[in-house]
Amino acid sequence: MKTTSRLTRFLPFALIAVAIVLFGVGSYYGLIIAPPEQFMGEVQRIMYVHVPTAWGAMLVLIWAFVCAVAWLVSEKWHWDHRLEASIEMSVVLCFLLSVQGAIWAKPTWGVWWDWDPRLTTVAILLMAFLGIAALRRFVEDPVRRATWSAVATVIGFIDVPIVYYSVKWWNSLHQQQSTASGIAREFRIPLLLNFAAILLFIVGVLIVRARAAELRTADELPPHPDWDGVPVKRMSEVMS
Amino acid sequence: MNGMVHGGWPFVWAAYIVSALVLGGYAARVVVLDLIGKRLAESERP
Repeated sequence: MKTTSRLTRFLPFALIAVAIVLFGVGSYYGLIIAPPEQFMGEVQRIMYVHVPTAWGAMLVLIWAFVCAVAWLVSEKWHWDHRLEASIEMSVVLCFLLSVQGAIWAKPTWGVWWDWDPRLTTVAILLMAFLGIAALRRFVEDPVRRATWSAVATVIGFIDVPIVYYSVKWWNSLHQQQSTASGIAREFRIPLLLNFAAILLFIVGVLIVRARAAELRTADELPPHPDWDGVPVKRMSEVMS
Repeated sequence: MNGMVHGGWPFVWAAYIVSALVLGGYAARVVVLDLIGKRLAESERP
């Protein structure tokens, strides 16, 4: 396991600090400066947090898939640490997405929840990643934990394109995806500011969380000059 | 206003407050985890 330099130690905290400032500016613009939308009125302002959360969640889920495949192919431990961080972040963002969606649904659709294709597929995704996070807590053997959760992540990721295309494939209450270019400037600015904020926040928190996972693995594995150089199949005999 | 939805400010505030609480709470948990891990690593270092 490598030790972290001073720069990598403080970089994520700097990213999180910039994210908080950006979120403040984006929220000020979205809540105070931007005008209410013609048909949805003030409620439309929820989109300035809901849409960036959805974009961020999609990126984190793709990153989790990349980390899972990279671990299965390379068996390098840093991919498992990144996977642990991205699984947890996926759970947090999918949960937040569902709560924001419910808050949006009540005044616009008249209900907090509906078994709509988009809402249902996101709920499945949340449950799947919650299960994978639980799996990582219960499996004590680090090699099994890494491999099983990577396989489960690859399987769980199947739901991601289904979530994305659910509004196109089925009759959905949920509106179709918007692109930033198709939105008026007054609405686009807070949307992009908050997206930049959530992106920096995600990167910063993922780095810190992966470091915590690295420390735990270092604690679980016996001292070795280079665990990444030991094939997983030979790991148990090296450990014994 | 001629819109279909009126009086949505409580929902807007709720969405912003929940977002700040969930993301802020998770970030705080991760930072605490990092600090504990760092302390433990330093205490175990010879």
